[in-house]
Amino acid sequence: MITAALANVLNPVCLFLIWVGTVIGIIFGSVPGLSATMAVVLFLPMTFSLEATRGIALLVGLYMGGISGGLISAILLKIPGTPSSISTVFDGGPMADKGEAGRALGVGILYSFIGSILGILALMFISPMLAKVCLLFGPAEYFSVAVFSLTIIAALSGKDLLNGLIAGLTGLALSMIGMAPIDTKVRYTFGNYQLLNGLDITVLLIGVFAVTDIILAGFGRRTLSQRLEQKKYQLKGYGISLLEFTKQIPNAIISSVIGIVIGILPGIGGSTAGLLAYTAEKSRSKYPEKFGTGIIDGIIASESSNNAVIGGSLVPLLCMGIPGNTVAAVFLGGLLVHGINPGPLIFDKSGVYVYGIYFALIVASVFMLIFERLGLRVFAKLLDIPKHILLPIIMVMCCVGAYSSNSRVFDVQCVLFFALLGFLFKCFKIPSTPLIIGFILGTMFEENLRMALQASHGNWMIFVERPISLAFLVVAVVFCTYTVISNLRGRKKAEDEGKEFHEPEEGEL
Amino acid sequence: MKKVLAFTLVLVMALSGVSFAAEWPTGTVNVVLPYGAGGDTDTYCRQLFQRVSKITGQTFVIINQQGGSGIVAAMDVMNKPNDGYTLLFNHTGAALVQEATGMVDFSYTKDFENCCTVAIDETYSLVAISPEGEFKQYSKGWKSLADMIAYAKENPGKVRYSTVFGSTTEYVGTMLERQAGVEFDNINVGTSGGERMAAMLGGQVDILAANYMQVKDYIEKGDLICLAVMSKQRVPGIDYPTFTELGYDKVVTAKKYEVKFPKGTDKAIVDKLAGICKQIVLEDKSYADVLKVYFAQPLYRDAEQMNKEDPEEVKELTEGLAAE
Amino acid sequence: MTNKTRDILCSIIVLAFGAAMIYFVKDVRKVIRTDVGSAFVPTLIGCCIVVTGASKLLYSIFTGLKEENKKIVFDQDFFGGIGTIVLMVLYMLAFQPVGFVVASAVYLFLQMLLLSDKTNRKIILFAAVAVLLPLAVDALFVFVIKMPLPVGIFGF
Repeated sequence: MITAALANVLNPVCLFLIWVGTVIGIIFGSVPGLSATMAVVLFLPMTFSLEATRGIALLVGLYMGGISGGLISAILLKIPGTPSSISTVFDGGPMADKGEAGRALGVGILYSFIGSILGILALMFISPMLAKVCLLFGPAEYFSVAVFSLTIIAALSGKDLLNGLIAGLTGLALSMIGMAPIDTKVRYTFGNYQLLNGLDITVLLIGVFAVTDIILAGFGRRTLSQRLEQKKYQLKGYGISLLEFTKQIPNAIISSVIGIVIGILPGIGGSTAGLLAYTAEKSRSKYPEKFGTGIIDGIIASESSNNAVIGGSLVPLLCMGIPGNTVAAVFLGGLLVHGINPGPLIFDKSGVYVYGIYFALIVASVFMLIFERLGLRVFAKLLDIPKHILLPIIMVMCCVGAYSSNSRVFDVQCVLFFALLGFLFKCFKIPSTPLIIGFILGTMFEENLRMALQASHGNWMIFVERPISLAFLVVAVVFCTYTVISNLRGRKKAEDEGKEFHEPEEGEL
Repeated sequence: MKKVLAFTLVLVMALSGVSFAAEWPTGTVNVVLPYGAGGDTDTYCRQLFQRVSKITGQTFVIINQQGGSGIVAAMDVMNKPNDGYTLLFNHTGAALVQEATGMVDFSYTKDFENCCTVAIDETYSLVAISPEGEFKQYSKGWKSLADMIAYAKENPGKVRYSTVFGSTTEYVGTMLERQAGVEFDNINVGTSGGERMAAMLGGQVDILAANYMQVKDYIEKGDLICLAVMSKQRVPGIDYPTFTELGYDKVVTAKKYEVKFPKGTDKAIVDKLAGICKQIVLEDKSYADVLKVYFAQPLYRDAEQMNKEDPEEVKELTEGLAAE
Repeated sequence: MTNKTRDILCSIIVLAFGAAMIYFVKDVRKVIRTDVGSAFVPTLIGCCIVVTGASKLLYSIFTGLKEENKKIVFDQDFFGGIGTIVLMVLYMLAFQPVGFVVASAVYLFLQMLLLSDKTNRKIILFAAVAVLLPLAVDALFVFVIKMPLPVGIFGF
């Protein structure tokens, strides 16, 4: 069966499809507004008429390339190309500012590959076991995971915890717009039916990250051409020495494991994985203060975890027929059309296709490693385009991206609204990343809180009675206290020494 | 200036409406779908319009507008110009229940220009954990619907049913409660099929209503047991009793997949698409094969039948829910 | 404007936002017996926002006494900034009625003019980019991705 699958994948047509998928995926991932999900949905009908392994191989390539491609715009333009690469911006952006864009990209690609491979290995060898993990999580557990993830806000708020909180809470508030979960009550739509479905994360990302930047560029247009000079692109290999590589092994492994676990849990996406891994690495590090100033540790944590999600998200899909995210749902459709029914019998009934998926994933990650690296030369040319030409182009691309996510002009107008909100935040020195985190976690927070309370008949003890849930809550409290105390201490120490307390640049966070 | 512009606009629209109806479609047509990519509705829709595309030579773009229980997509189509270049593909399952419960302030049956029905899926089934399978620790020991009902009668409010507010799932659950004279513990453990399935296997609920396709392999492997199917008659390929056979004739539901235009769309356009769909539904073997994967069947109804039958179904649902 | 006034202004906006959040869900009723209702979490978050806003207000009033009140110096280019925002608003408004290609071309050209200075203003290059890019993107979406972008009154 394995050899048959290998033969299916290694035939030239199939390899070509994976290659096409990967390259197109990278492009979709790298353009702000176009996402991995869009790429996969777009090519889904095409796979109907292809032979099963080939169709799936094409989708696999698109998924792999799409998730990884996000790092390009995250680093070069400081705009996360996909929600998954939000945390890549934190250190990738500053590295590019320091003239290390090439190195950041190289490292990002290499660790995307490593994360992917670790994820695939987990999928191949321990997926039936991992699938059980997903069943241990009920609403109470998901709620606690959401609470735990929200504590990232404290870690990323820098000096001013209050401002971070304001941003995070605003994000949560924005996620409440539209139809409520559970009882579909309409909230905060002010009679506009287009808001019923709530706001789109892509729209929020584009607005707050990309378009706000363009507005700021307008205010600082006199210095626009000077800032360009600093950025230079140079890269040999993947920009990392053997010594550095050895030192980063624990980081890569821990981050990948976080990615795999998040991938397995249905409903939590790559963006959360990247943020969690970044925070974990920051609090584990001996030099947490350097995070956000442009070090490779941050990029490695973010990229290895968001790519490990790929393998993770296929675990419940294949073993139980439960898609963990939108892309996995599209995959499910692709599989079903070809008569492959994911679930407990998939290995008995369609084993050859399952192995086909495994091999296609491996091939796709190798292609990604090679061709994304080769493409860097082209992508880096972006930096040569003068800012006053590049920024308007980005603006147009953002609008196209916002429009195409739902085919409606309303989303384009929302982009502008969020750009202005982002601008207001900048004026008030409020960081905007917590806004995104709050928004991503808002629905998960509310929906699971309500579902858990419904199941327990209104008994709040459910959150501390279930061991996994309790563990997450305890870790959240400990982590939060630790961050706040070390933050206060750091400030006190700085004051004693008469130095300015280190504050991560607002623009980066 | 503004007036001239507006006038031109009206003129252009009017002209395009009148003169091009016969040649429709001359450009890309948007098909709005209230469900996510990869689901059953999405697959039927894509397969159908791929074929329509081939026949008409124009592109039909499928736009997935998930969320809001399908209401967003429906309202979006209602607000689009009725030039024949935007249409809605949905199924009666959720839509008619929403209309019956007054959850929406528009009508799926009257505020659209019905075009045709292209498929029917009657495979909604009630399942429970098998006492012998891999998840037996969560089993209550039931082997049949009668076992479950007996248990529920002895323990009112103890059988946990995975419900989704304002959906078919809630409707059939309520119907079963009434006809069997039992009371479930109705809890929401997720909205998507996947989430609800995971909750079932994780022991968060005792019974689950799901498409047969989704639970098929679990039943075959012996992890789940099928208590009964909610079709009127037995569906080919599903060898389990229906609720009607077991004496609960109100626990019936079917999803009919429909194509609708915004109200006021030119009849020539509606008829033309209906004709093309009819040809595919009734004659294209490969289309039927796709449906078969999901245990669904091709079903063609024209606009007239839909205009008559759908409101009747809404009435039936309303009466069913109202009869306490 | 000083740091202090800025922070106080910010806190007041936050307070108002939190209050509005609570106000607008007060009529949302519980429909499922076993559920906490759709107003619960928004109210909770609204309260948190109010508390945070109040803390910030107190904090900025009291720390303001100690720290020197730095004046915020505006070395910003208002014409460039406000101009950019205005252009964006016009672009968004024109997106549907005028159509993607025309709106984008006009926007691109004006925005490039606004962001450039005398030394790097190359009108012909700008015009070329402004015309070719939207056409290329439109072609990509219409013919390759098969997802048409808005066509306006000009029919393209």
